[in-house]
Amino acid sequence: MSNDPIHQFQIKPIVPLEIGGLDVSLTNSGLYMLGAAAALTVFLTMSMGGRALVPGRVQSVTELIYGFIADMVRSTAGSDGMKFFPLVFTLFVFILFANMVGMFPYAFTFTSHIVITAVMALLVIGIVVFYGFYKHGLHFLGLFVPKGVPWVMLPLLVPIEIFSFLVRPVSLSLRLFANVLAGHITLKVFAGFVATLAAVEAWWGVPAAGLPLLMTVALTALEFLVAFLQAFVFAILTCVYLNDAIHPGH
Amino acid sequence: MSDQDRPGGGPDGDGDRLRELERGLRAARKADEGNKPAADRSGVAVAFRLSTELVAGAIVGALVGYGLDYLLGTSPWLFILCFVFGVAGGFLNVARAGIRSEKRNDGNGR
Repeated sequence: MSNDPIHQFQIKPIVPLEIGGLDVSLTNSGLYMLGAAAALTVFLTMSMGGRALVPGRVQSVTELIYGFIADMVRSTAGSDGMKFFPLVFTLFVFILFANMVGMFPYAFTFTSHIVITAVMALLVIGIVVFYGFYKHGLHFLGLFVPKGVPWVMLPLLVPIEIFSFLVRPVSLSLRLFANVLAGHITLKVFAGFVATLAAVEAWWGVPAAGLPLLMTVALTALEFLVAFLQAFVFAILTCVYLNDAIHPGH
Repeated sequence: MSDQDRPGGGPDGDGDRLRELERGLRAARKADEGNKPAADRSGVAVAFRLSTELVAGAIVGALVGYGLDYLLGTSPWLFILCFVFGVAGGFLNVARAGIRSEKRNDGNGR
């Protein structure tokens, strides 16, 4: 049914494939992931291909993104954090392209599936934990012990700190997934209202359909904002969490 | 219009213009100092960050508590305890993010 707002998130296998009893078919989700990765690779390499001293329009877009992320990493995680710049940059550009490609009508938005966002969030937290222990050893656990607190309070505060750490991957993945999912459903529902109202056999049918149409236009603009903001929020939180791994003292 | 009519047409004029440009650039750089990327301060980004934090805290606390209860057979005590800790952890994350953005707005960001 074309009016079903959830229908757009359905995963369909395109190239069925099974290895060792595991279903590893190439789905529409996987296809769009490959597409987004290919598109951004082509865009980034092509735009920097000229390496002009005075950048042209396309090159300056890439340079702006680079400067934006580099600034963000440096101001959030310090200059030590710059070794994680490739990770943050890749995450940001990948999510940004995914969300933007998803804004095309009939396109599939793979960030609307919590599996995808959860894997990205677990990757970030995994790196934080691994790097934290690798760099600081058991001192990394000091992250869970707030400084300058009387020891009587510690049995209460340490569990809270541990849970605040456990919440991170969940909130990181939930935020991106929920915003994209809710946004696309809202768009679809309002667009559905247009068709339903326009089909009403009364003089007010078509004029009334203009109202949800206006709303759809406004929501599309909002979704573009959300598409950028969610990529930005994911990237900056990655920096914030990496900062904890690099400087667990505070 | 001949070359002489243009302000700063001659060699001396060029020097003047360059110096003026230099002055302008310096002023612009000074004005830009301590000016972190605008989106950094955008309230919308902060709001988006905070909204999920509380929900996620409750979910994580409930799930961890339920799982531990299931494993240890202590139902429902660990569920209640972990739920409370989870919500508190969510609040802690919100408070931290608030403090962080406040610090940055004061201009002495980390």
